[in-house]
Amino acid sequence: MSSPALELNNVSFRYPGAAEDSLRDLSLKVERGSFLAITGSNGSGKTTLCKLLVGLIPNYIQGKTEGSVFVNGKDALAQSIGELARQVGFVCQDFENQVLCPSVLQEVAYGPVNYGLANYGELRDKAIEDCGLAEFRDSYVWQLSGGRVHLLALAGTLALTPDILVIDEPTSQLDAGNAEMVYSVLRRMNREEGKTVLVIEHNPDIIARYCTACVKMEGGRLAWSDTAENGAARLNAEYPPFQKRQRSGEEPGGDVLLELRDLWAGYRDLKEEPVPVLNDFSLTLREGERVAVTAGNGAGKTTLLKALAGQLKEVSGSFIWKGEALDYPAWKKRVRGRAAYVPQNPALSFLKDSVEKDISFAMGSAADGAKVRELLENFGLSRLSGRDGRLLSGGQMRKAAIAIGAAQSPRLLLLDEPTSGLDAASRRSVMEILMKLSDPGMACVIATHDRAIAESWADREIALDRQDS
Amino acid sequence: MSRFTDRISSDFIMRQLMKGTMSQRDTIICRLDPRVLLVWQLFFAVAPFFLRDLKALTAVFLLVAVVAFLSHVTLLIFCLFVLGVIEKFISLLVIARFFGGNSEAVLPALILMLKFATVSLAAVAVYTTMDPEKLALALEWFRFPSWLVFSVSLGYRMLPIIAEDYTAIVLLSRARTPIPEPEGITGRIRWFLCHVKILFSAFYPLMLNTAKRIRVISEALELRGFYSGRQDAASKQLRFASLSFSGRDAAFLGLSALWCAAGVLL
Repeated sequence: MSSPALELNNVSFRYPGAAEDSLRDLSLKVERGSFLAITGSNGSGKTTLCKLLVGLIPNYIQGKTEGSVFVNGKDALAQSIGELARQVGFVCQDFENQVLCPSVLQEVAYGPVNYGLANYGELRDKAIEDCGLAEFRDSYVWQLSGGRVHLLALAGTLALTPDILVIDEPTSQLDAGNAEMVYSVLRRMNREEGKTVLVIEHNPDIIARYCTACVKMEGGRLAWSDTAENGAARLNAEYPPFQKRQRSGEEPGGDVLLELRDLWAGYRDLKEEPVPVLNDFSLTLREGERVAVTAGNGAGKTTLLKALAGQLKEVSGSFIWKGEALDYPAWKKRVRGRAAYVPQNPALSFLKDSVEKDISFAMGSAADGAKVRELLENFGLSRLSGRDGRLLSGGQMRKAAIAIGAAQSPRLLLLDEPTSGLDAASRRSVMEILMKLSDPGMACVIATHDRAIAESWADREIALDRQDS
Repeated sequence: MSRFTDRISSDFIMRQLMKGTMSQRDTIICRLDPRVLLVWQLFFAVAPFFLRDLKALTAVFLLVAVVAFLSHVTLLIFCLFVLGVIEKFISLLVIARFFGGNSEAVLPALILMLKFATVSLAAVAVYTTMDPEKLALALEWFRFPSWLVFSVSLGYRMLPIIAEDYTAIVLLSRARTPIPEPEGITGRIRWFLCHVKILFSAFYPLMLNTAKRIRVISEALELRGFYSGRQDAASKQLRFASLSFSGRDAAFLGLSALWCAAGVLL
């Protein structure tokens, strides 16, 4: 057992057709039983590294590979994906798409059954137990919350009993509570089962609390390697936390824009019974105000935003817009031009094949070349105007989606989790855009689990109760 | 009318589909061996076309109707089925009339309609209520190509996700599109065309978003041994172990055969 869990020597990799290497002369040694955080900006090669460790490179994605990779002391480049899958478990960033079966039981047993392991029942039950999913054994995937789907993806790989776990950005799609849930499972796997854990992570607090070591990647190389505590301190120094705002506690001065009274919002279940998410909810929004709505996944942040944007079906309550009382159907009819909603998945915002076309479409009849260019400039998107929004990197895609929201010149801008899933640098640039978004006639509401938005950007924070999931 | 269109929303259709396949694992029909159900359905897809006698056809139809009832076909699908049958019947009569037929055309039309009704109701009873994984397994057992088998199970996994994406895209583009007021006849037509345009143009972003998902899915398939599992003997044995032909299946086939024979002969 003397060999390290993972050892990379001078590894370089170039994707087919790419002009540059994604990994350059990378050397890294991960000792058995460590809990390593890998950090670094978009395009620094983190995900490429993950794919190399699980054998997707070079078995599935063929490119130019140099150097050597050892997993448990054996040459990984010579092993098949099947052999490696039993040693290295992988949960990718888009974990929702990694889940292949409709139900929990099938999903967790899927790997062992495919690899022909006769004790798949035992393996499945242990993995379900280890991931804390015992009470959801008989559920379907679509009934689970985001955090539990992540745990399910983890259970699916754990069922193959790998001794190394590679997790690509577990916290990017999850709120703090669900992230804790995932990390506490990982910690238990690390401490009690002796598994080596690698996570891609940007959050210094999490790195300091859960990890034992931290490396930063830059341009496909290792920029530095340190203990978790020092690493977190370095990250904090690189990107100092935003200054918290002092709140005076006074009522903001703007005129009342929208008053929401007795809001009921929810959905219908399979038996066509209405299920409430928000009940008896009231809210007043003033012109020029910045409001952060915070709460865990499933507490109704998105439901609130969608109800305000007229994008839900099952809603009732009165919407008093500048003194004029409307019921929900009437509000839905008049919502265009008043409220603009930017969904959590920014890729859904793009309807056209370039950012510029999308912005000009969003401006509607008011669009002209100069205005579009000005907006693109303000959002730092000038150079990307001809690109398809869906193909931009995380931070740029967010900014473009927010720009599309702003282009509708709404009086009420509704942003759903604008900073989730971003590395430190992209998150900072999105935050800077949010700070610039100020229009005395516009109220902006952000649903978020990012404390920086609640504490540094918002005039007011509304914390929704978790109704339990 | 608005009450009706309100109910027939994409959400409602989704819920009905999910309900059909996901929440009824405990019906008598669902507990049968999926291979038996496939064979049964195949038989009733062909057999009605060889029957000419109204009595025999009625008997066969009644059997299929009982099975459909026992498998708890959802309301929406049942209504679609009934609408389809009525439409077929009326159009047959109209065609008969057009070619100079008279009231004698009713009986042949009725017989043809019964044939169509039996065939489609048998398919509805089996496919809209069967657990997709079981269906996939049975297809694999009958050596259907693996891409087909996999599409069946992945389809059901993806369906709610794709439907959700599509709804979101439609709502977002509706929120950005100037929609004409439905006033007067031209206003109504323009209002309608505008909505149709939104519904169609939403497919373009939907396809691009889905393509991005598919990349992750194909990597996950590779990692979780989907491709190697199709060839691996041990894996096949494990998967097929859950298929078992029991007395219940024999009884189901036997009773079906007996009933049909009685309907044809008596």
